[in-house]
Amino acid sequence: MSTLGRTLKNIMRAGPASAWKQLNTMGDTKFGALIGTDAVGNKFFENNDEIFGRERWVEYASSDPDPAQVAPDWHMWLTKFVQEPPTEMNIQPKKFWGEPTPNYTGTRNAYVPYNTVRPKYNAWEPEVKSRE
Amino acid sequence: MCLVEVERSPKPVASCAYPIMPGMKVKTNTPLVHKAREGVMEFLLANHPLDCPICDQGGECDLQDQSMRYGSDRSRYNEPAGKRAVEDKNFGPLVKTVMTRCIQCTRCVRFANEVAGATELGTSGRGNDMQIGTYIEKTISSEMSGNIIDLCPVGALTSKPYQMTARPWELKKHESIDVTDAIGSNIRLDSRGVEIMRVLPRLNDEINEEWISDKTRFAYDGLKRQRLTTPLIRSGNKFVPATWEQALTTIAKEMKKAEGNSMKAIAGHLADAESMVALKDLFNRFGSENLAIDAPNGSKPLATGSDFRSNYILNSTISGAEDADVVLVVGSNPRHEGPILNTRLRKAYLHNGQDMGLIGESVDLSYEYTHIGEDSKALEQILNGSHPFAKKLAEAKKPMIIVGSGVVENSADGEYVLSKVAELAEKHKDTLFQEEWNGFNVFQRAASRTGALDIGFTPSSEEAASTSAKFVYLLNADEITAKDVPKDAFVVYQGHHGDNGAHYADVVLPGSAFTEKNATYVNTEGRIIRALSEVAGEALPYDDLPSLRSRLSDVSPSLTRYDVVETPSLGQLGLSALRKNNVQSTGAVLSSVVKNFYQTDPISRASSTMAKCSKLWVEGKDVSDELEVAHA
Repeated sequence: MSTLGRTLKNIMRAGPASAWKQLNTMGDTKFGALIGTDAVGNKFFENNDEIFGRERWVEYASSDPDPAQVAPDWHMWLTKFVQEPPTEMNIQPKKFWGEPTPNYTGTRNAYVPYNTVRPKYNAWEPEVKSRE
Repeated sequence: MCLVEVERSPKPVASCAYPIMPGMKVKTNTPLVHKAREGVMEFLLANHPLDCPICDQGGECDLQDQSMRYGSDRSRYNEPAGKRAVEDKNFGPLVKTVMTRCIQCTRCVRFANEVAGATELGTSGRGNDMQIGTYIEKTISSEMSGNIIDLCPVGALTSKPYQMTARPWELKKHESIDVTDAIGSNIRLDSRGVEIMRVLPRLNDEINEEWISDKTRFAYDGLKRQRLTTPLIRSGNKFVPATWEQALTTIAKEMKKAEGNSMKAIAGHLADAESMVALKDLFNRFGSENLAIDAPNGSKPLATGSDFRSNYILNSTISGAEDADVVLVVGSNPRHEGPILNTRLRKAYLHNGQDMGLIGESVDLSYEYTHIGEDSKALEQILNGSHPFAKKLAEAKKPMIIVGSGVVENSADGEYVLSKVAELAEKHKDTLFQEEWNGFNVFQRAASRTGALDIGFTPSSEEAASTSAKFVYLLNADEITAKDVPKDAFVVYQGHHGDNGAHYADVVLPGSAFTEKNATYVNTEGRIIRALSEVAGEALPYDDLPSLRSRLSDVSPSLTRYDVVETPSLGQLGLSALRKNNVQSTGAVLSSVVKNFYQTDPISRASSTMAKCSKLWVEGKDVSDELEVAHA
């Protein structure tokens, strides 16, 4: 819940262009310190004056934002799994980690469990017989 | 359970057995009635297992309903010996028995003895030891046996193919018509999702009363097997799945090559009127009159012709068959060609003293009849009065002659027999043709046949019929043999099952079975033909069902007058047209055309239930009886 005063204050501090973008994506105006940027260009902010649970947020680089676009290490920081951001953590990526997978929901690559239901009808196994 | 209170009567009165008198005051909903019924209920439940949760009748059980209404809320049952237990009987692959649940109402015994004519079912023992059964280990081999499932008020007799598959409240009910024979029994299809779970009869006093045959009731699992799902095009010795576009363009190309009467269409037993009229229109546009029905004689002009409607229908009507006092059946086995008609005839035999004479193969009809002879000579004996049955026929007030469809469609003597029957009808015209009574009948056995003849789906002339076919269109034609399909012809099969017809085809088009089409026995397959006509360059002038139906009524007005029996005029005149002097008998036996009652069409041939029945009752072998795992 935002007040008019806070909204106006944040618009002034963040600048009208980024405030407009924030209103379109988050539905709120926010201002904080830029902590870092991940490989795809998502920007991560922190403002400890915000109410509890809203101190850390991300501004997506993509025009079609999705939480799965956040890199796993930044996700740790965003969800307060760790205190220090990945830029200060000195993470050594392991080979077996591989690349993070995007969210396939709604696409052809989405996971569908295999069907355990028996088919409701059986098709004819075509067979040709010779005519006389 | 029928106890009621009658004023000034000291005790509750059993309403089912008490004579009714003027001025009687009957009360059905008083504390006395409730108390009396609660008492009876307690006795019924004393020996009835409380296994409703695992009983197939649960949810549609009369005893369950009664006990909900009148039963006590607690039991006083504390017999140390436990409840009565009865061994289950083996009634065959259709009826499952849990005899412990039986409350000995003996409805099944009465049905089997009075309606179905299966006298083997009865009771043995007395009192608490009474049991329903067949005395010696035996299955009930009646083609009407499934009806005892509906009759049983409890779960003692339930359907074996349906066991443990569904509950009545989860089923969607669709009213429909049966197509396994030409009776057109009124049925109700119970479905869950896309699956038909069971088939039940609907009440129609004009047709099937409240019975249906076992084939109607249990062949539904055939709808799930051997289905055609995608268009198939033959390449060499195998079929390759194709798109509709490919299939239709292939057919259209071949259609344009063939010309005039070298295009032949054959309509099978399950073809609906809409698709037949669409196919006929399409072929006529291509200049072909070479239309045939799916029977050995189907490719020639039929012995009955299709000009006079009274020459190929059951003029006396199914319920009218009860009123006849003498029946002469020529070349038909009504028990297998239409069990519903046979139960009518049996009813008339039992209650009206109907006399029946049969010319044709001697078969068990479940009642007594005079077997006159096996071939057309017997008909001559009736004509010249040398057989005693001729006298009965002459003295009859309402005689009825039933000519089987086998005579017309299968027999070599069709024309001769019909000419003799016409002569016989001429001789007895005063009784045979009365006001409101036409005693001449042709008894069809295929659901589509009357419709086909109404539309005129027969070769118009010998010339059209004898043209050798280059392009053959099989519409649900599954009774054909390898000989009926010319080797060099291009064959299209349209139907719903991979049965006889599809084997010989060049292109197979999948269609819907009767349960999947629009309510009445009609519809979508006409659309395939419509699509084909456009690709072939001769567009038919109808796009949807209503316009196709209006064309149907143009061709034959009676086809869209639903639920009404159209009585044709000119019955006698039509029949006299069948009299021919130049035909000779070949002396062939008029044998039964239905050899295996349980497997007569693609649906019942694909059904495993029907396969079990024919194995048990036609071949006389044992069948495995264990509970099938919920079948696909």
